[in-house]
Amino acid sequence: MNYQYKICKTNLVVFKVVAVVLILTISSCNKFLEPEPISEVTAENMWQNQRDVKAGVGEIYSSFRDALRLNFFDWGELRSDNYVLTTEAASDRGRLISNQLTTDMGCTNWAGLYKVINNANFAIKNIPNANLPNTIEKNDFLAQAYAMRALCYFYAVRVWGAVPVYLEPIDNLDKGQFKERTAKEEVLRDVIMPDLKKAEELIDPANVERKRISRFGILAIQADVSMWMEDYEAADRTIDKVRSILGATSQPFTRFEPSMEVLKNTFVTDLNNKTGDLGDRLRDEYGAGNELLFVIHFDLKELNNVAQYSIIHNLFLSGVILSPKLTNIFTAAANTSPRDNRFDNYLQASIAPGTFKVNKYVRNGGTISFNAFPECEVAYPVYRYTDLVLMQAEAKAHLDQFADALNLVATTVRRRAGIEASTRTQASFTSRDELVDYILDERQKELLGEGKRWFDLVRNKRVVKVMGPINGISNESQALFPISYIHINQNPNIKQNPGY
Amino acid sequence: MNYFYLKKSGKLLLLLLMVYLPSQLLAQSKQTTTGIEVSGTVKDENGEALIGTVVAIKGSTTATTTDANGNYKIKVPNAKTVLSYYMLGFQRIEIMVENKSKIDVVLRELTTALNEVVVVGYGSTNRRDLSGAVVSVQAEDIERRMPTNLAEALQGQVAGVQISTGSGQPGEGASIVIRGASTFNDGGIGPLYVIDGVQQTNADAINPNDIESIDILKDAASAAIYGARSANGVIIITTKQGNKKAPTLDVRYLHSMNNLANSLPQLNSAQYRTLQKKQMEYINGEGRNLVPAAVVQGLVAQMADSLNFILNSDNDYQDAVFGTANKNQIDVNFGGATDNLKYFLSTGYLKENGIMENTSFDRITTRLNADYNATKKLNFSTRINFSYAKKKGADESNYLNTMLARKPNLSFYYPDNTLIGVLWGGNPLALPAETNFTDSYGGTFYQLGEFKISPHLKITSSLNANLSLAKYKFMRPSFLFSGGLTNSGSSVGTLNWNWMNENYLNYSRTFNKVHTITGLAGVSAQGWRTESDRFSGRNSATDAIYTMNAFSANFNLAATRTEESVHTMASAFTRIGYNYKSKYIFNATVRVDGSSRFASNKKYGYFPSASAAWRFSDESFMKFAKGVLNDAKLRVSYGVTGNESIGNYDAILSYSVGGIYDDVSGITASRIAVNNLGWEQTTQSNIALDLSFYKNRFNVTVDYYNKQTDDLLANFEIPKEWGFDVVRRNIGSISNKGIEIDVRGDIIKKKTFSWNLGLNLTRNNNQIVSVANGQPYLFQNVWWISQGGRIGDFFGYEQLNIFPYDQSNAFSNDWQQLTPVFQTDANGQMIKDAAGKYILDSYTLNGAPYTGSINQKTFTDGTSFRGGDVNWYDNPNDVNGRGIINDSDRKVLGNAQPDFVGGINTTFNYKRFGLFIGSYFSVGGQIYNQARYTLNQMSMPFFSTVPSMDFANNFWIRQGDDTKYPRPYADQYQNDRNVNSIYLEDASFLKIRNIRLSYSLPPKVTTKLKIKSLGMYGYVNNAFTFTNYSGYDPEFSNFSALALGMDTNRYPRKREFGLGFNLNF
Repeated sequence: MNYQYKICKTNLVVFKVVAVVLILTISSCNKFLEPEPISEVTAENMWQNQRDVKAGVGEIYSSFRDALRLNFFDWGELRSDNYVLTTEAASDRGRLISNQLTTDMGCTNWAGLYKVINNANFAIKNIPNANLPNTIEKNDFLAQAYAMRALCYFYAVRVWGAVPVYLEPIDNLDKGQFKERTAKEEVLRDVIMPDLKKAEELIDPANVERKRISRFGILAIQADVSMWMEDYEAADRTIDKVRSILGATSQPFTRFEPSMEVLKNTFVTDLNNKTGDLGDRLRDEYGAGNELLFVIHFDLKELNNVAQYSIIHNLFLSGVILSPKLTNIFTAAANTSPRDNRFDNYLQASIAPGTFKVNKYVRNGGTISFNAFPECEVAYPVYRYTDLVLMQAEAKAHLDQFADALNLVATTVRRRAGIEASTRTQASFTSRDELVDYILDERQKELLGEGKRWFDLVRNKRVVKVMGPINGISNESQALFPISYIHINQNPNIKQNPGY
Repeated sequence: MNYFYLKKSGKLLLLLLMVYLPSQLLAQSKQTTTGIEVSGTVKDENGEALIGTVVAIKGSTTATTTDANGNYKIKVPNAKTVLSYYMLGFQRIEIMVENKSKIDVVLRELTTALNEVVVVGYGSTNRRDLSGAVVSVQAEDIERRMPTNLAEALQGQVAGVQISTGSGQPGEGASIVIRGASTFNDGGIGPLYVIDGVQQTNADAINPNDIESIDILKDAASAAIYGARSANGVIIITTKQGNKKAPTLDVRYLHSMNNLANSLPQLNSAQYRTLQKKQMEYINGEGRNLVPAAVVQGLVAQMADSLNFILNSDNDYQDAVFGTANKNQIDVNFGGATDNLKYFLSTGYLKENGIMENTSFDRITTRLNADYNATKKLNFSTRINFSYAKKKGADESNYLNTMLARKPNLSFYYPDNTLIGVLWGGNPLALPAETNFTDSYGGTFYQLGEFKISPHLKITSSLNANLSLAKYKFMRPSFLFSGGLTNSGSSVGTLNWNWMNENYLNYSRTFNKVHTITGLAGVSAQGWRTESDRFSGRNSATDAIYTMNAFSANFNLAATRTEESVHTMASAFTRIGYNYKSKYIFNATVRVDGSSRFASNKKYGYFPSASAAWRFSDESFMKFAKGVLNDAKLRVSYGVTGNESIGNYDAILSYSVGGIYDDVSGITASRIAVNNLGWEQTTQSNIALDLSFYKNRFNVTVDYYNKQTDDLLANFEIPKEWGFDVVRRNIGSISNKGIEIDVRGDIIKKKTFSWNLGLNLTRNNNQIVSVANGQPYLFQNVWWISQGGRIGDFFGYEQLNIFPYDQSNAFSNDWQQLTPVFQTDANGQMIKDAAGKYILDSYTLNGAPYTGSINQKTFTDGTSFRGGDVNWYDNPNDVNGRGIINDSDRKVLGNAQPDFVGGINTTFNYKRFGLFIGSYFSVGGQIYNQARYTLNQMSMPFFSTVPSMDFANNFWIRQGDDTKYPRPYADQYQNDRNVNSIYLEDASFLKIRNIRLSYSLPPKVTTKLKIKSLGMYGYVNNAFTFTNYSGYDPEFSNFSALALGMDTNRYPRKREFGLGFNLNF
């Protein structure tokens, strides 16, 4: 019995020790079990100062570049009458050209755009509370976030029509909502335009960036949005505003470039090899008097791999060639006197006889080796001054200001192309649509390779008229892209566009 | 007659022990140098002499070993001396000398004994007293498989453990799944490995020849003591210790030659030209105006250019690429023991070349195990091991696809005899010029101290640290880039460091000789740190240097970075056991784990378990069966285990470094915060029966388990509108129910001949019980994850057939396919219209004329499918209308999980010869042959690569063709859709994994050679595979918990022919 008792006593002591150890361990555990992340910033330490804000806004652009790398062309141009495939059919690109869109194609996926929107939402929510002594700079960052959010939604509605709208960052799963799509008109009117107005108010006029959003970038988007809202007067006014601001400065940030030679040089050298400026929004590495308003900057060193690099050379040197239709238009223009000099500056003969490829971004007569192109830095021109000029001409046409519209085209774009003299007279137009078509043709030739043509067709409801004879598209509703089945699968409140 | 020995010695032993126990103290106190000489023979149950058995005087350092005939001679101090007989792999026996001068002993092999020691986590027990589902594999079972890694050692041996070795690439890992996939989570699908007390997530670095035993804890009750990380079972590996008094030296060597086990049919140049002609026939016929001019021109040019040097080879790529490769494996072990020190030192070297050029695996492992008694109450154990491995790899699926798709007539060389790098795709002979290897360094240190507080209570404290460093190097020289104008390289170093401290008390005491109580209580703390250094660059100055100094001017900024991350866990655990005469056995455990990975309110997980066993064979009512059924035990258990294999910071919102834009490095939210992100919990009950017949000659174990995992941790795909791709969530439940049967026994057991057969069989039924919000989702566009479905459900389009004629696209109102009847001329020949199409006469349905209305299947834009297009299954409930083929016509096509898996292992022994045959099988389940799909799909829009052989022989060209594959050119009708049911294949297979014939030299010879023993063997590994699968191999591992059964062309397996020997000094 004595023996038994001893065991119990030992056990008691042991269990006491164990209990104490357990309690000590568990109480010290909470600290032990919450190690701080090392290579990440905790939420409390982000959005505190100028560096944080700069990095947060920097990411908006970086994610925008990811979102637009392929889609810049897929959305804006490849479905149009500009191109056919160079040689062998690559499935997605071929399907875009022949209007055989399916819900599994990359261009039907909006994940990239919403990533940018979410980054902008984080910035818009957090910048006001950040500690930036320079209010002008702080507002400038905020303006960029608003403008980029607007630009992303603008791309989205142009591609899919109605889209779901999220204006608050989703930083916690509990905040995730399965939203339905909001009508395109509503998004344009209630989301995009107000954002752009806010951005215009907040932006620092001294901001002279092209790789980021400046005051002129904001105004360019505003004008474009007005065109889509069919508010041609507003578009006209906005572009006039750009002119008047520029007229008031002795060193204009941007202007119409009257010389084709200089313009060509802009495409070749200004879009290429423009090294970074360490994000200094007050330094204009492009120099005054440049046509560019907003570009997407690519630098292979900054990207993870070649697969994230600009496809601008890849696409035009080995992906697509000019469609037979556009080849005829250009060839005819080149063979008429006076000769349209864009033929020599924007195009080059392709391998097969009688075919042409876009050579806009390559020095005349020069070539870029298939493998050397990833070595340089190349930018996509999202907006440039000529775009605004032609936009204004189109607006004026819609406003029945035929003479002004024609005069604008003749004295700018056509003069530079060397064909001012052959501009059609006002009397030769019998309808507004005919004049709009004439301006759209001008835009097609001038903005070739700049991701514009398809949007021009959709905006003016010319899809069936122009593309029907080429690929049989028969319904204007097909002007919208399908929505990736992934999105429909993940959010049951998203309904597919008709016809897909 | 064997039984007689056993019986006799067993009874004797019992008797001796009973006499001996009370007098133990007396015996130890007095020793004299005068003494009695005792001699005898030690044999095994088969009557074979046991050479090298240690015969030791208990309580002293005096010992001897048996000679080549099993004889020994030893001087003992007095009649009360106890002799201890010990041989590795055999049960230890102790006998008191008394007045005998000759003591013959028969040692029983441990593997067949019920008192085999089973390691159960922080302790061990006898198999007899086990109440959970634990399977043990002993050194001998491992050795006869000639494994190079743990997976090969275990494959097909254990019921309920599904092992798929990754591929044929040397050094490739494997997947080990215990009792079905019970998680959605890639990181957590594998079991927890406890190697000599050190918890690890993989066992790649271990040398299988160092393993003494493997214990697999399958049920929750056994595993729950490891709580947090044990949801997928626990594999406890114990390495060898020095045991024999006299130092022993073992040398093993094997050499093997390997070649490709199975090659795929591939077109030769003549067949390829036939294919081109058929393609041309299509282009000029039905494909007119459908194939772009550029594609046609390309094909015409190639066919016309009959004298082109580049296009006039006839390559057999598989023959050119795969060769015979050698493998050498050498192991040297040295071990021994003194009274206070046991030591074991092993060194192993493996050099295995791959059957593909420039692939190989070299591994050096070294291990030092020491156990030291500092005082009678204080013991220390030290385990130190180091390993180094170098794996030279290939980008396997890319490489194989390139090789299989290349035109057979395309030369390897340019006319000037230089190797072609890239031309219409890569050149398989050039690709090995790529630098692609990983150096892995590993080291583990483990120190354990054990103090006996009382005879029944001891405290154990251990500390271990584990370091591994993997350095990956990659360089693709410029000649492998088309045009040769750039090159690219990268270097990735990953350092993993973890430590653990465990302190626990063990209590064990028997009362009144029948009640045994055991107890365990302890705490542990663990920490992990991972560091990675990445460098990446392109277009360096030279192709001659792969290290990053050459790229320092050309770094890819976004891919050059270092990162660190940490993770901690703290735990407390306890176990209580009660055992009445080994008849009624009860165990219960509780573990509490805290992990840094979860939300602050969910850090702690509680993992209880209970198990009980009833040895009903010891009940009096079972006496009648004693002669046949010598042991029978019923086990039941229930327990909860956990899984915490997620990212280190998955619960919190934090920001990470994003992309670089114009010199500014962006910072972006890394993820969405998830409140309440908590433990994944697996609840498992197990009921089992262990039966032993005829004195353990036949053993049967049957287990039934029911396992349910709740709060699954998964990367859940969220709407992309939220700005993130996935979020880590607790999202649902999966259940796995299954039955495991293990039967083994000695069918023939004679003195010179024995035949042992083991069979194990597992059936597991997996079901997804619930997913978040009941919302099914598509994983990686291939797998459908839905409530009521199973993991591995393939989702896609079902190909019903190919429409032979344009008019075959005709269906009745209830969508039965109609058969067209065509107009014929006087001779019965079908007539064509001006456009070259046959003229329809009428339709029939099931042989009867059909006059109803005709419906057609169409593409989304309303155009009807034509002859030569795929007749896809059309979902009758499709809201977008019948007949239109779109996304909503996809459905579950099949499942990747097998119905049964198992193994059959058999051993024949005749005199000194042994023959072992090990096989395993998998029945049911399907493979999606993505490799074949890719090959065919690649050829369809280009005509510039080669499709699979069966495609080339069986595609649609003209009206009326009844084929397996559609039109050869992919046009808008999307005949090349993925996932397509025709690429699903039966995954069943039977593999004869090992055949091994061994011979050990007779003692007469070995004595002359002054060695202890010498065994020699020859073997064939991966000898035969019986399967209908058309790819390289139906067995491959999955890298992801959800992505099962998709074959993307893994490095094909080798067939291995080898010779080896084991030499003991």
